[in-house]
Amino acid sequence: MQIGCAHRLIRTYGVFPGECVVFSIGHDLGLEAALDLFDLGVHVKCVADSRTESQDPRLLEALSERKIPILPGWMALKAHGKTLKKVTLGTTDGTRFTDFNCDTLVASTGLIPANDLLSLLQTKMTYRRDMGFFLPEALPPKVFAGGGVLGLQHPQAIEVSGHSAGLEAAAACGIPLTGLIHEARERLQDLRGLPGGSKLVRAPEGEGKSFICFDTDTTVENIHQACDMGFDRVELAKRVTAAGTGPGQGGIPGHNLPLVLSEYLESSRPEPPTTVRPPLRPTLLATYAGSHYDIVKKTPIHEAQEKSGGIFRRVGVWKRARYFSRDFSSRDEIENVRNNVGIIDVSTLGKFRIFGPDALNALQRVYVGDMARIPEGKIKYSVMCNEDGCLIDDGVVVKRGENDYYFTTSTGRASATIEWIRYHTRYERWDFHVVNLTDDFGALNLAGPNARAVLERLAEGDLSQENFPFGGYREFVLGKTVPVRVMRLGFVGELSYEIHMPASFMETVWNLLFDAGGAFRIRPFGLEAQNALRLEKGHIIIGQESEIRATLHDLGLGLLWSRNKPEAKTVGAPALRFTEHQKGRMKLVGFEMENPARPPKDGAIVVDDAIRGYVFTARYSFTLEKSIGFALVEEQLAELGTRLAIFEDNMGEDRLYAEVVPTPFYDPEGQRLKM
Amino acid sequence: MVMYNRRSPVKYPSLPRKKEIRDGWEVVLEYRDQGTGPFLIDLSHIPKWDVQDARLSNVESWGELIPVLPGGCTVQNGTLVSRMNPTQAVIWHLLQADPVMPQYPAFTDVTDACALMAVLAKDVFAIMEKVTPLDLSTPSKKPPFLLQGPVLRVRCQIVLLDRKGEYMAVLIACSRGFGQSMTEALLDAAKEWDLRPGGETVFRDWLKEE
Repeated sequence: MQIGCAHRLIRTYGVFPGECVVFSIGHDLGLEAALDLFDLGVHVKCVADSRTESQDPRLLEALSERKIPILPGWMALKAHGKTLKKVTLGTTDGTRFTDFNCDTLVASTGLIPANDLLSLLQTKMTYRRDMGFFLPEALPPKVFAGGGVLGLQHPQAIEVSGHSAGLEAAAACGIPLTGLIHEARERLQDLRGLPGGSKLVRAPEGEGKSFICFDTDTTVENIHQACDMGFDRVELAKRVTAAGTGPGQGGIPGHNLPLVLSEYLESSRPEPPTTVRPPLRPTLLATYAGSHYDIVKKTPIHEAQEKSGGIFRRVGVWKRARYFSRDFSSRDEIENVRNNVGIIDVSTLGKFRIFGPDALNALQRVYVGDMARIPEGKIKYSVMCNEDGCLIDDGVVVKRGENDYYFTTSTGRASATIEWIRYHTRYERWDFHVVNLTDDFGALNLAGPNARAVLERLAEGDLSQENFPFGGYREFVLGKTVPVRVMRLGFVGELSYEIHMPASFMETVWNLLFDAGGAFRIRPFGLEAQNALRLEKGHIIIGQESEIRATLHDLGLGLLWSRNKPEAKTVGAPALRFTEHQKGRMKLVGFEMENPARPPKDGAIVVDDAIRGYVFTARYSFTLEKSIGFALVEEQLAELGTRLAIFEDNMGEDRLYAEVVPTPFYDPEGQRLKM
Repeated sequence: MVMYNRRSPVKYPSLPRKKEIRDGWEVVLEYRDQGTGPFLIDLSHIPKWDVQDARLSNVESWGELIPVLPGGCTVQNGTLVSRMNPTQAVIWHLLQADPVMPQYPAFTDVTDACALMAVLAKDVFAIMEKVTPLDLSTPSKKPPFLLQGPVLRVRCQIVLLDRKGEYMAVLIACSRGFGQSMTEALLDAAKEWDLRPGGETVFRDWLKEE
């Protein structure tokens, strides 16, 4: 065992490390440990010290007083017995041997200065042959060191050197401390300086292997072989043999490798150790095993949805209800929206207030549409593109007052929206402000032919199509208490109301709607149902049916671009102009499967003799009783009526076939939205 | 019958001993086993305003109270004003239940936008050190002050309030959606200090101390 282990056993646990102990050490702490254990009643048979000189004379005297034999220049070579019976000690030059009966061997080859920190600072290290250590030649500017990093081990020397280093650091900051520094240096000189280290870097020649790196099982022989092959520099030998590249961070080989090389090459001046890299201390396994918190965002009605049978999936930072039954096709949820009324939590949408004299300028900059044309009481749907003209976000904007707008973004872009606007207006001296209200408001989408009937039970006023048409925006109070902002949207292709309310009231509104919708057998629907519903309606989801190769025009949304506002310098407008009529671009298409019961998997590829595109999303439509989907395909395959061959994993020579068809698949006239 | 309740984003595992309904919120004043601290106190219900203006110092009624430099805070009569950046400040009404927000465009009511929690403890630095890399004990700042950065990897606004008696308080505001996760993680991380959910009263009493 090592000296620390023997110490801990007896000092911490009151357990003798053994009855009869032999020490094989290479530093003064080993001598101290032998004395300490002896004084606590342990029989110390002898102490082999691999050093021949530089032991603390007081410790040698104390050993002598206790009649503990000390063997300078000796070390343990072999331990005998499964449980220890005896050890063979020998001289470090391998010329003499002797056996000692014992039941415990305490071994420690010595300590080296903990100067890795200095090494990280590019301090040049030199081998001090008199000490047996690598020590800094000089410290870098503004670096002051003390204690163990300089190899000091005596407590007083550590303290005084630390004090001195602190004074010098303060002086370097301009505090006049010359006298005190001089005094501290003098005190340090009077104290015992560096203890001599063990110069032993390998066991004497013998039968066994001599390891230089216990992490990678690199032996001294391996180093010699590397030298013979021409890798005779420290950094080269390290890489060839992997010595010092294990979890021990080069602790032992870092010091010994240059010395072994130098000895083999018969060089009088060892190279400095290999480069030290952080972390200097290996990360404890306990750190990795410690708590790792899954920090997620939950919407204000997370618990209420759980009670309603919601099955949640992680979507970005959010936990969202994907299903409300174990039928993962979500058929009942879909049909309930198409034929009755359903409700979905869309609180994760980004929500923002933008206001100030230049708010409109900022909106014009980032939205491709003309935001100056937002009629009162109406929403304006628009999209944002990046500099390449690719779609990155969509949402609606309403004007709530003079220079005061409320707008929504997709869930994924919510956290980047303010930075996006600020970034693209950074050279303008515009006066506008943006408030992120994403979490301030919860949002529900009440959708289906009975949606109006449900909402009318809670809201005062006329919600008819004439008074509150598709595309309309109203603010009113629900249940005489909760202020809400309501938009007539149609993402799922039915009469629907997107209701925004203060987040703290959201559970109340959820309960109110279920109460009011009870007679209609209202039920919640999840993301999977919404995905299928909007696919039928031909609405795309950013990130799901958009990608870096597809511009607004490629996705068939070019009509949203207002080319008549060049003064706005709309982000992406130059790219849209450039690519609008460019040949050879990929296009978004809708398709129907020839086999109506078999949709391809999302991500399946469109092929002929090469890959020609891929499927974004495809589902079996319970409403249309056929399988439909969106794909991004090369231009020549985008014509209506084109037959697409689709390949999935492990399909071999088989293919699925689909035909390019017009979209929307469902209610192409939009009659359902205008009920 | 649907109750018109307002719901905090944070729900503690402890049972309330005293609670009251305030402006629709069910506010727990004291928990049964809240002990003598350290406490984690849910203040999500307190009114919060966002103020943005190119000239914040001129903002109607409140301009003088807004600190000059970002990171600065003032506390007056239980109202905390923190300067976020050159054009934005936040106002948290820690003691006043129903303040009237000025009808001036610079103001936005953001009461529901964030979960707000207070850690009230004798050794608040030790607890916070475990959950944030931000240096709350930096000698370069004098409480109260605002830091903006990660707590448990979530972007937060953190306000260190001045010590009163043996206790100090740190206010942590994060996006409302993170509230429950953050609460659970904070309670777990500070288990070794026996951090427990505390009612609002203990915080209000501490804040009113001279």
